[in-house]
Amino acid sequence: MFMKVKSTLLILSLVLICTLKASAQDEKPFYYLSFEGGAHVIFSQIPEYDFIRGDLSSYGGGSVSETIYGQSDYWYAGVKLNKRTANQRFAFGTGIRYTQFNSSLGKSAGESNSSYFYMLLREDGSSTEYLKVTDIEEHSGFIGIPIEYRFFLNPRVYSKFYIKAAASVNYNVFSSRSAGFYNSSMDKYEHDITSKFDEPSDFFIPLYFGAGLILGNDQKSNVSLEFLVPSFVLTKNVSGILEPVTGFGFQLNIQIPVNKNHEA
Amino acid sequence: MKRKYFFFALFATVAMSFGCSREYNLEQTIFIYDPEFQDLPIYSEWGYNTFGAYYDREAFISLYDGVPLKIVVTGDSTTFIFSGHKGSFSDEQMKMKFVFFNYNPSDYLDLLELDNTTYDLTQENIMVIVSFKDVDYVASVFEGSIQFKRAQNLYVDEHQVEVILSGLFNFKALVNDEPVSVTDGRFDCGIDNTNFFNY
Repeated sequence: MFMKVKSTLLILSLVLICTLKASAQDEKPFYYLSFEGGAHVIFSQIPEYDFIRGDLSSYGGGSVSETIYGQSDYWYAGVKLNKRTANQRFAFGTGIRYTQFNSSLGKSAGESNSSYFYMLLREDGSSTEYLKVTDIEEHSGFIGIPIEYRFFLNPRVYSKFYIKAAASVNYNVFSSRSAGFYNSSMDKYEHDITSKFDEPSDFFIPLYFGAGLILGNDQKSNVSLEFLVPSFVLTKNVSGILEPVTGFGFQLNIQIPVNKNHEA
Repeated sequence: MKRKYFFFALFATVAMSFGCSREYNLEQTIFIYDPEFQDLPIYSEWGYNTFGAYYDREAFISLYDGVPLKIVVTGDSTTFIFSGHKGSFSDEQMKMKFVFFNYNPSDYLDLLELDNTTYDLTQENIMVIVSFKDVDYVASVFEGSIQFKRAQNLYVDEHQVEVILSGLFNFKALVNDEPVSVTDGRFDCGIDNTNFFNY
């Protein structure tokens, strides 16, 4: 885990240094403050748990009509200080961000309309106890530092269009987990069920690429909209219940120039 | 007097229905192919209602629907009847019956005493019958065993539901004067009042 954090920070630091060096000779770099918000959907795999019964594998020709689904997503909000080089080719931004990562494990009803799956509660001698669980949810909050790098393809012509690479290093500040039961009288076992899963990791490091478009005058206050794909999660155990793989997302930025005496 | 007996019977019926409950979803088959023996279901202890074995290297496996295992107690014997088909893509109906003499559980819960037990199929008080299209052939077993690795009393949401029998079997025998080899046999079936018979 720490190697991943270190490697990511090292790579992004090198990129930052190169950008700063490239722009060192520029006469008038352009600074702007941006308020950002974004959301990503992450496709996830369900690990082979030995305490969840059946339905984890398909039945050859697909006769099993019910499946357990896993879903992950995260949203974030933050503020960044961005620097765009005077030649308007590059932009670099960093700041602070809050991210919430959500995972859920549930059952989609098929032909038999069953809305639950069976989880092993305990085994005691010859007795075995299952519970009918409808869903497991996990929510984790992170505080982190985003690092974004934008490249404007032809600033003289396409000053509003750019491609970007971004990552962030985020630290877990809280985690909560809940379970839903088919029979509400089994709510008393919520902790027994939720504690069967691993704890989420302390760090969350996403890496994503995409393209964006500035709406409005790119030299004044404006809004930019970004479509981000692919979106990777470098820390696979950011969720204690699922294994995130890849996904896509969107980001909206409201940008306010800081140095008002910039000339285009 | 008749009214008293009527209410007693009604009360008993209601009381019994709260004592044990049926779970429709647990009665369904979940057939997960064994990654090593790819024609057979994995060995499991979840009550997936499957069984499988190689009968002379041809798969004998449970059907995708129906009852894979019935237990019939008559007189002083108990018969475990595995019903399936031979060949992965064949419709040839086949049954394998293990008859235990001098063993007569009165209720399916008595099957829990089979937990972690192994029986030599060459013993005189055990008979193996192989049935093709409802024609029974008594097998002369010269080596083999059946092992009940696990017998579990299953509760779901604190209600007793069924007994799960899981185990392995293999044997060599003469069936209709032909030597046959049954290998890599496994079963994982739920037993309740719907597939346990005592008459």
